[in-house]
Amino acid sequence: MKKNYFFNTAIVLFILLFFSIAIFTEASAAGKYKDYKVPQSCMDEVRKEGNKLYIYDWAEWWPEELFENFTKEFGVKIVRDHYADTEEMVTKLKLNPNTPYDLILGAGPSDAVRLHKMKLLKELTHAWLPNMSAYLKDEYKSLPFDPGNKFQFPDSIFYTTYTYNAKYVDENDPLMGSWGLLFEGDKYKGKMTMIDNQMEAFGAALKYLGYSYNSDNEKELMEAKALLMAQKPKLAAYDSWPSRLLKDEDVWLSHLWIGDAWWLAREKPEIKGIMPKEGTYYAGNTGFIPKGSKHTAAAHLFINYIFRTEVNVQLVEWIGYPPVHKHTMEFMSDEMKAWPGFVIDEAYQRKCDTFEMRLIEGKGKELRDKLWEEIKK
Amino acid sequence: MKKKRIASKILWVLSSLTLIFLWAPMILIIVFSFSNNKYGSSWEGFTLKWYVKLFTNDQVRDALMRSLIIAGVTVVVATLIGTITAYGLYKLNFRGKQFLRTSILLPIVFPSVVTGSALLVFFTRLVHIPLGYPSIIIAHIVFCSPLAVFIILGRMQRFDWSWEEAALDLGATPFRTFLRVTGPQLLPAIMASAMLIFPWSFDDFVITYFVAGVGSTTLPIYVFSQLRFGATPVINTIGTLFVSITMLGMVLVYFVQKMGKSNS
Repeated sequence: MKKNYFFNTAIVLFILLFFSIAIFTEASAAGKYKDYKVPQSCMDEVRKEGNKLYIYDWAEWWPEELFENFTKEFGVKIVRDHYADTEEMVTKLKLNPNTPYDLILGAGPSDAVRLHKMKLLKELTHAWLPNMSAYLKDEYKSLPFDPGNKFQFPDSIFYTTYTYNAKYVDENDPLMGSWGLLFEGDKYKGKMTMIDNQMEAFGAALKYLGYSYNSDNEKELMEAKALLMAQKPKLAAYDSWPSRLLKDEDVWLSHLWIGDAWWLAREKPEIKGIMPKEGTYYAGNTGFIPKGSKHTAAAHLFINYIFRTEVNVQLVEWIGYPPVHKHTMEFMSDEMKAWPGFVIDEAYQRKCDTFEMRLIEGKGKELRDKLWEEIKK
Repeated sequence: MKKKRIASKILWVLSSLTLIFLWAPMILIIVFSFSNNKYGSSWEGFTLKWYVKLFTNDQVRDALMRSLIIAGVTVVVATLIGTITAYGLYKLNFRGKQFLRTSILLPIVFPSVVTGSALLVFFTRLVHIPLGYPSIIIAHIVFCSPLAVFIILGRMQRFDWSWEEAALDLGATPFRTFLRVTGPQLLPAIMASAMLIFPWSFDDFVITYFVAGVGSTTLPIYVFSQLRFGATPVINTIGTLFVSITMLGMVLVYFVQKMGKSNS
């Protein structure tokens, strides 16, 4: 009799537990935003293509579980190769337009536009991307260089800023919070790096001088060049990935993208990020489907998957770049929201520039290339 | 007398410097492969976690296996082609021999970037060879065979050909002669070229990078792609394993030779 009573209680408790778990999962996390499944036609196509997906992206950037979960859920095998620089990836596609990658991730709008002009990209099929249609912020659906996301999509936003080690860099410096910290004075001589990329290097100088990041004006570019030439002897290196140098305290002050700084700060709290008060450059971390793709439906399935709210939260939490998904910000921790460059107010946003065509074509581009060569000599 | 002492001192300093520069990086790699530091660049306490990672990280393991397979096939085919070519170049006389002999040098003297992009265009536009193992192995054979040719040719120039003539004279077929007489005498040169070709093929980044297809990332390409977040110490563990395996091999060879000598 007593045994029976115990048994009943156990069952009741078990049922209660079951329901409470069910209720909590429902209410918590991203479950409240609907996951729009891809249409059956897309799934049929994925099966017909052979359940494979070839991705070309950065190594060790996105969380591995994200790819593993995708394979588990859809039975699509992912093969990933990695590039070490987006220029390298663009060259590869240029040399062999039929390179059979299905999806390229982590590039920038300038890469997407250049490849599109060479007719090396496939158009996106929006009927197969219901999550992206529902959740991509409107401002990223109508970018001037690609209204309607015909050939590219952003998965997050990057801001170019600088990062410093608070142990060595004086936070009360009057230039702190200005691009000027990288250009004025001799205090951090030999302990600074700049991104090894002409758009970013010129961009930092142009913003400090109060001009547009995209400037194609000769006078402005010459001023920027003079600034960069004066800065050059103070640099430890032009290095796009100074993570190791910062971590080992070989350099203290680095021109860097905000999410990469977040990665470092998670491991080494004295590393801080800051948004320069003059404004900066921002653009989407961009993905696209190259012409040689043989598993195009699987690529769409994957894009739709990363715009599913839970998956997008998982992604953004990991990489530390601000989201383009309408609801992802709601699930971010306070710590993450406090990180500069993650929550941007409108007033600051207006001071920033984003990608314009004149950055990669016309007289501005020619002059920049020439000046950059002179700087690097 | 005094002069000699100074000279020997300088020699001593120079050779120890050379040894230090040769060995220090390798020792550092071995030490840092046990360090807790995430970038493998300083000492932060002992750990074996990078070794665990090496054996559990599919990407590294796959890349390593691919590199080993490619280098293995390349060594066998390239030394074979090299031996035959060298033999032909030495023994036969034909029109354009000098031209052929010089042109074999091309893959070595051309910058790898040129060879790589030329091969890519050749594979994708002219003859359709699937990018992946086939294209990478062919490319490696292209730049490795000349090495074998020249090492073996060098040996042939210091070769006592009367042995071969004697064998032929005594009625052995040319094939049998090569197998029993010429071949064995060339063996040290063939082995030397194989030992040179293996690291060449295993290390190659530039040419492989151009002709690699989807899912054929080799170890050097993998390491290079890790630059953004600083190559992880897993790379150091691979280095350590290779150094230790090579050392072990060398020690074994030494003892085997020593035993062979004392037996005879």
